[in-house]
Amino acid sequence: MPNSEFTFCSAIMHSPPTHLYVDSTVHEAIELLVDHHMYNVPVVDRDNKFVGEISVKRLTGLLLPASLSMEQGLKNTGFIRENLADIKNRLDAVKNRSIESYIATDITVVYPDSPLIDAMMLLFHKYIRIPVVNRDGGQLVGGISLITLLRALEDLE
Amino acid sequence: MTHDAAPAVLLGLDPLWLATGIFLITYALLISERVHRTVAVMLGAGLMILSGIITQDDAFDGVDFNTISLLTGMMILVGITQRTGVFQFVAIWVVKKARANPRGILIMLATVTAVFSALFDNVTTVLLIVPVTLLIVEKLELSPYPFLFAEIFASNIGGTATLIGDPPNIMIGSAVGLSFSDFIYELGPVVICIHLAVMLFLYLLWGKQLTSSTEARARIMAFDEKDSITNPILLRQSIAVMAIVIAGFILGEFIGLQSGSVALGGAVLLLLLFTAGRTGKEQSKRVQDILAELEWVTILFFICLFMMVQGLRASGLLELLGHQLLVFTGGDLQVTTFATLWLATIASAIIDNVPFVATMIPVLQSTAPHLGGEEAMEPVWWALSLGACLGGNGSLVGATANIIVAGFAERAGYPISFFRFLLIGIPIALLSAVIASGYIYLRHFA
Repeated sequence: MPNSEFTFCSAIMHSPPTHLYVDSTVHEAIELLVDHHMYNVPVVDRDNKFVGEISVKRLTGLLLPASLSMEQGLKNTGFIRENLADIKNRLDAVKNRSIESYIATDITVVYPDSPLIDAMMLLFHKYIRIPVVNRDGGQLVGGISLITLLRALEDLE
Repeated sequence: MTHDAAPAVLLGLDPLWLATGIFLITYALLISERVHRTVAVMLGAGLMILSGIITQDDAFDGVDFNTISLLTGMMILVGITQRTGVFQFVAIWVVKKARANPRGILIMLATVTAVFSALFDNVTTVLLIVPVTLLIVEKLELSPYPFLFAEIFASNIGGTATLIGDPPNIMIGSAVGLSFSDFIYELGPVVICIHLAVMLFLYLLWGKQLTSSTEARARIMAFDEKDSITNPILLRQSIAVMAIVIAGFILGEFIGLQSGSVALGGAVLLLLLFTAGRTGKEQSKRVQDILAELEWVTILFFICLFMMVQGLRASGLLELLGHQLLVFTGGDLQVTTFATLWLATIASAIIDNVPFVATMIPVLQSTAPHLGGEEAMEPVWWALSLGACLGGNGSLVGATANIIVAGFAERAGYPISFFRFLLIGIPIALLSAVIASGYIYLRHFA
């Protein structure tokens, strides 16, 4: 890769990223997270259009009582006593549900022709992995993480 | 009419008509909720000044800084106190006292909500009690509706009992010179009656369906309320300062100390204790956290509302409305009292009770000479307070606390629809107004 050219996201992104579909179940999301050691998974519709992400944080919220994970929920929780069976019950109640209502849709994406610095700023401030999305149709075409970037730097040597 | 007193009004228009127009536009914006309420009254106050109905100095004179100080002081006190976990402690403690029996929980949590609402503002109270309630209800595998409805009603009823419980009382007390003791002495008994009546009503309505397995109840009994106290030292300091503040409210009137000064004094004392012995950096963070949490939007709303009402007063509109009220009631104190109570109940179910009461205070003040003087018309002020505070139970939009609870219910997956609320809210508001009418009649007119 010649040094004199500016680098765009398309040059270093990995593809295609592991993803879920909007109609996948919570159970499938958990399996994917466990199998791939991922912290957030992109979600697409059946036309491969990027919809949002499912995060470990959101799935943890499903295992908590709703009154603790909701907006303005209970913060002072020192008095609560629970066991694993309580948590299992909550997991059983949601595991066959579609992930649709748990998808975070306010995810900032980059385009293949976005400057690399855009992706780096997002990695620095917000996410572990940035989805790369087609500018026209919104299809998920790749992802960028710090690992992707470091590998690209290795290749340079 | 005070036409001569008004400065040069825009385009030489009649200030009375102009002020009426501004008033109607502002109220229309408040009711439609198309514009944020603070922006709506900022616009109303600004137009009063820009159109020349009042000067900027007149507008500042209209602001009741005792009300503003009391609101701000109490916000600081509750902002620090809530960090101790005392609200959760009390909620869990009473639930365990009721042996986690759902019927007992319904009554106990509603009563705790009423007591906290009497001492702190209703919105903070429900913000702290409702999440605990949702957790308990989730553990008991019950519908949260009875509990959330009971807490909405209790917060509006409890807030009626004291000078500091609900903003209409702060405004009335401040404008008319009624003290903390006056409110407790006059409204305490009737608020207890109304609370008991509403609890009985809800118990008859829902009591039968509220049952839970022993296993579910054991889950609640396993909670340890002591562990909800996050900061025991701050808790003791907060309780001590609150006790001093309440004593100050009661004793202050004898030494000419107004409630606003007492509340702000308490706030300064607690801020001092909250930051004492910390490094400069920690102090700065703590003070900034507490002061940033203050509801500045609400405080600005009150300030601009007072300015707008000052414009209405200067235009002569409020005197005119007061005159019309006297014509309607025939200048009879008893008729005026009950007309005020029912008008306030209905109005507060439909619109925010704060602008309504801010407008009604000067209207009623202008009628004092025809009702036998300021002292004789005291029942009218109690009627205004009872109607404005209790009317908030009439509809989902009747009080801010109602809307906050509805938001929680929605997030928990149990939305409260406007009409579903009306079905229970209207009977509750009517029941409250009937009891309040009977009480005022027996106490002042029998």
